[in-house]
Amino acid sequence: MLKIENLSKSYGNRTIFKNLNLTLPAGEVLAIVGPSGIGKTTFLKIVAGLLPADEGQMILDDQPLDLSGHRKDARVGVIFQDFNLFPQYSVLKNVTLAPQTVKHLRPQTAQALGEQLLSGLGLAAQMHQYPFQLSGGQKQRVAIARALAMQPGMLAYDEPTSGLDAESTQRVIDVILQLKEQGTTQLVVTHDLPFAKAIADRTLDFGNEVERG
Amino acid sequence: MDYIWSILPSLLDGLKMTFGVFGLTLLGSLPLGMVVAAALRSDLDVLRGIMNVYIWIMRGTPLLLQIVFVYYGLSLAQIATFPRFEAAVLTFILNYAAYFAEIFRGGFQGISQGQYEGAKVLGFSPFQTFKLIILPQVTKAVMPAIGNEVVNLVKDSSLVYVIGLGDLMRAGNIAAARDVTLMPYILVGILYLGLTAVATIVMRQIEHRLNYYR
Ligand SMILES: Nc1ncnc2c1ncn2[C@@H]1O[C@H](COP(=O)(O)OP(=O)(O)OP(=O)(O)O)[C@@H](O)[C@H]1O
Ligand SMILES: [Mg+2]
Repeated sequence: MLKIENLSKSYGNRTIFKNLNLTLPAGEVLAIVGPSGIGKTTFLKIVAGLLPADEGQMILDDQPLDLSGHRKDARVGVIFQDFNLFPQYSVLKNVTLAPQTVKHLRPQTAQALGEQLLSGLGLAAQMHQYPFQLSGGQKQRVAIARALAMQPGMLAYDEPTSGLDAESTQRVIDVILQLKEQGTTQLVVTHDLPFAKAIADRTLDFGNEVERG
Repeated sequence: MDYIWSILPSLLDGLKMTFGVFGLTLLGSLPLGMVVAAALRSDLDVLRGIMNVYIWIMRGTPLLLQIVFVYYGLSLAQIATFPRFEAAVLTFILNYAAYFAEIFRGGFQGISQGQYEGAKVLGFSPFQTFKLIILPQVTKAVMPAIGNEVVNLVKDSSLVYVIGLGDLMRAGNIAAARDVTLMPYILVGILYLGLTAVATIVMRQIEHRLNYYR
């Protein structure tokens, strides 16, 4: 479960959001929607620990998350809009590198975990390819596998369908619903309303439901 | 033909000096260039300022002048007196480090913020991020430019002859003056062509090895 309390963020004197409160029960999918420039990515980066919040706190599975911008753990798995895969490493190594170097998993253990995650996402045949050889949809699933390999308490996605065709979008929907079935808590930033509708238990409209003043 | 055989030993002897300057310069200037590039990204304005002035001077004045300055100039002004070889290598390292730093700076700038963010959310420490994620990509990006500089260094190393170091160039000069013939110069030219060809091939090979991804 993710609990957000009184979260505020401004850039200089421009308030992006203020006193944001939110509870995302374990295993649910929350879609964050709203027009361009409203602060969706800003919010996601704070959840991801990449940007400092001005105020407030966030609790994931009863443990507070660092909001100073200097988070060191990988409890929130992030799938970026342009994936940010590591181009010099194979698909499999993209997934196993962090478990091995950060969590000190043994190479064989990490390898088995990576193979299992990638196969589960339909990437068994791509494991030894490099990111540049993959389609957008495939890259995204690698990014999901890479995040899952750290066994995070939740996943956060930024615009997961931007740049994907209808077929790949359907595939993302399937994957998100599949993970939901397995109990993964997921937060998805998107401005694709039909997509939000297809995946979300709840939708938060950043344009209308968030205090800014 | 006999003449060629007769001067070849002295040329090959000069070649040793050329190799020495070349090897030590690379060994010193590549790491130093990396350090300077890191300093250029520092938050300390003073440090960045100093590094920029250093690069500006090194790239804005002739290497020949720098060699003469360090060897004769510093000694004349009684600031420091270096033996010839040390003076030459020191100057080459300082000069090439400035060029390499510029190249590395460009390489770092080409890495997207997303790579750092991707590493951070996976829990990589800054050092792990640098070593495992950033440095390999920078290395690939800078390799063509580094290759050019390496080939330049082969030829630039001939400048050490102005402070009387017995390199390939000087060996050729001495033979030409003594025997009043063009032949040593031609041989020296052929040897330099061979060296630059080898350097080019080696650098291309390294580039090629790094081309397994985009
Ligand atoms: N580092 C920053 N400094 C100042 N202002 C910023 C910064 N980053 C974003 N902003 C501003 O904050 C606002 C919210 O940006 P954000 O990227 O969060 O919007 P978004 O909802 O994700 O938009 P989009 O749908 O286009 O991705 C924008 O007006 C943006 O210009
Ligand atoms: Mg955005």
